[in-house]
Amino acid sequence: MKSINKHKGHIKHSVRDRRLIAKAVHVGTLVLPAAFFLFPLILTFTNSFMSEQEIAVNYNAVTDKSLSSYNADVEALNSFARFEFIPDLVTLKQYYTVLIIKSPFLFMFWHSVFLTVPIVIGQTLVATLAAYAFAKFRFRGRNFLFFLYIVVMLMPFQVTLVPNYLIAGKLGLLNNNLSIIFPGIFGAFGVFLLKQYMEQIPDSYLEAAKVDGAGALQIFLKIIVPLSKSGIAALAVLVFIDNWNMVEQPLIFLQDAAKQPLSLYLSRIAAGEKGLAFAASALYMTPVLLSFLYAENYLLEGIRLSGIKG
Amino acid sequence: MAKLVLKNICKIYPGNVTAVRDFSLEIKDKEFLILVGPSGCGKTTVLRMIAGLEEITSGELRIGDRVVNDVASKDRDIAMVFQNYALYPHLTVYDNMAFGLKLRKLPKDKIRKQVQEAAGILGLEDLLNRRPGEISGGQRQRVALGRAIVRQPQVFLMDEPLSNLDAQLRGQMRLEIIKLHKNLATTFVYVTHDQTEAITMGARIVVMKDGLVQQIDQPQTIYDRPANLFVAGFIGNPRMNFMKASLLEQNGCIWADLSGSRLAVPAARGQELRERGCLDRKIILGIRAENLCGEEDSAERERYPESTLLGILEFSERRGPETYLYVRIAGKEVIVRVRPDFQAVPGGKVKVGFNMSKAHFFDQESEVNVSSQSGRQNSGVTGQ
Repeated sequence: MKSINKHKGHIKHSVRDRRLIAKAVHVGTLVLPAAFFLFPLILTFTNSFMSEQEIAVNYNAVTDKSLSSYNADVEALNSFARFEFIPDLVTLKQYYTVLIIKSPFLFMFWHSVFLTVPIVIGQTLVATLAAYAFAKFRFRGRNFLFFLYIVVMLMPFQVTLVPNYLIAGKLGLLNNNLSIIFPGIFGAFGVFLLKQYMEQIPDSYLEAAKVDGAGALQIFLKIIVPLSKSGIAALAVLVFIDNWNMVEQPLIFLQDAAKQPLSLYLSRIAAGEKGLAFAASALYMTPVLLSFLYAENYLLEGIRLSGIKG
Repeated sequence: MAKLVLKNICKIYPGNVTAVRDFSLEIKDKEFLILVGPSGCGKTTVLRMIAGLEEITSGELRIGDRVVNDVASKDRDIAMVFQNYALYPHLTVYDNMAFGLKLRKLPKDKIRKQVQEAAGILGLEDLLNRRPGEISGGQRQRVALGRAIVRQPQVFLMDEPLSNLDAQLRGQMRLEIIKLHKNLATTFVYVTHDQTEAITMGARIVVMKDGLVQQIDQPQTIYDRPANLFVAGFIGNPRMNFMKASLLEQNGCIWADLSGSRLAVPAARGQELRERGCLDRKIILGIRAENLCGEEDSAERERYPESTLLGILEFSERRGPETYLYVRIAGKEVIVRVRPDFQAVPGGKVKVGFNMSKAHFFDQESEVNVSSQSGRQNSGVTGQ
């Protein structure tokens, strides 16, 4: 009897051990990539509170070398940056310099807002209406038209850049915000995402509304939009992130540096201003992070229901 | 309140798929009409064409005196209850019920009054501020009905509204819908695939199969005098027993011959069959379980001694007030209804008496009921 109990105890232990190991492997496989992605974020935010001198000391090896000098290159290869997370002295000097002393930062921040917000509003509006048509109306050529949308969506940005540039030139929109806003508004991704989402809404809701006396626009406003809230919010966040980070479009369409957005500011921080880079990056990332945190649930639900992987 | 007239209605989907063929019917004002049939028979398509949710390929649909083929759903003055209720999940019960009235821009106090009246009829007063996700299936069903009745339409259309409920709730809701029809005194068109629902609820039943009307009549008439083999098998639970046979005349008496076993047909019915030229024809004998009796029901069996066959009991099914025996006779399994205390041993022999005065005879080829009891003449069959 004793031996049976001992045997049972042994089995219990081994099952528990196996579960523990499985859990450890599970957590490990999740924690490692998470840490990998979080590392630059945490480094940027903590380093943004360091003094310029401390930054200079930590990153001297990677920023203070002249690439034209062979000796300096060799020296750079033999030296490393020091990743320090905790500042010796917490200071807001970087933020003060970026926000108050260096005026281009704020100007470019507002340029980013003026470019991104119309694109987000415009694409959300256009994509919601177009997706409603694709998902809930039967019309000739619907599938072919949607296929074209998918083809456009799958094309890399660089492929459509030249035609977009030529069209903007013909329309006299070069060096104008509209040359970026228009192609942004009529993006195919939003239509695709929301169409998938709206297809999940049972047709019987629409039919019930139709019998109740609603027209196509009333159905859209009173049924489709409220039931697609998560999908629309997810789209708005994704479009915001995508366009807040745009680099190529403003670089090509907006020759006038005074009109360019914040995404181009970071690349222009000179080696001598490296003490500002972390605060500028932190400020640059903040709207994106806030929008993600605010709409995280919508984003996850929207992406899940639309059957799209992030 | 209005009558509905459907005249030679056809529905053909792209790809030449015919869903409904030559459907003609007049639904009287305040009538409770049931469309019943198996999945894919076209009954829901007919309802959706009445609702204006499907285009009519050909034919004419009238609601009242108006031809409404090209009239939008919202202008047909109908209300529909959907199979999955189709309650808007983001709106409260109140807003769901008021949705149609708000679209018609009725004054707020009138909307409130109408919604509260409907909620009172259906016992929904305490649920008005809840969302559909927060109430039970039965309550959702009531809300769906409420949304239809607040509109006070001329015609109510119901598409299998009870199919998502459990058996007990379904029985309860059946009664409530019957009461509702009496109270509202409006035309109801109700679609179901459940023959019990059809028989218990409707004033008239339309039985459909493959887009064609098989029989239109009152429930009891359809049960007693099915027009064809399909209707006979579809209506009634348990389903009617069918056995291949041929009709013979011997010594002045008509017999149904089941591969050697013979059943005597009563003289009066035999005479009718003779007059109809049914003798020496291959037929299918149809008889319901309640028109058969087991060995112990000797009093019953003595009434038709020459219509008794010996079979082997396969198993018995006790249902409380009655028991069904599954007996193999002449190579065919037949269901026999007996008293609940009937003693039977599976594998044992059972004598089964056939009440041939209640039997039906179907032509083997056309499957039409050729016996005199057929309701074919009066059924209003309009199909091909």
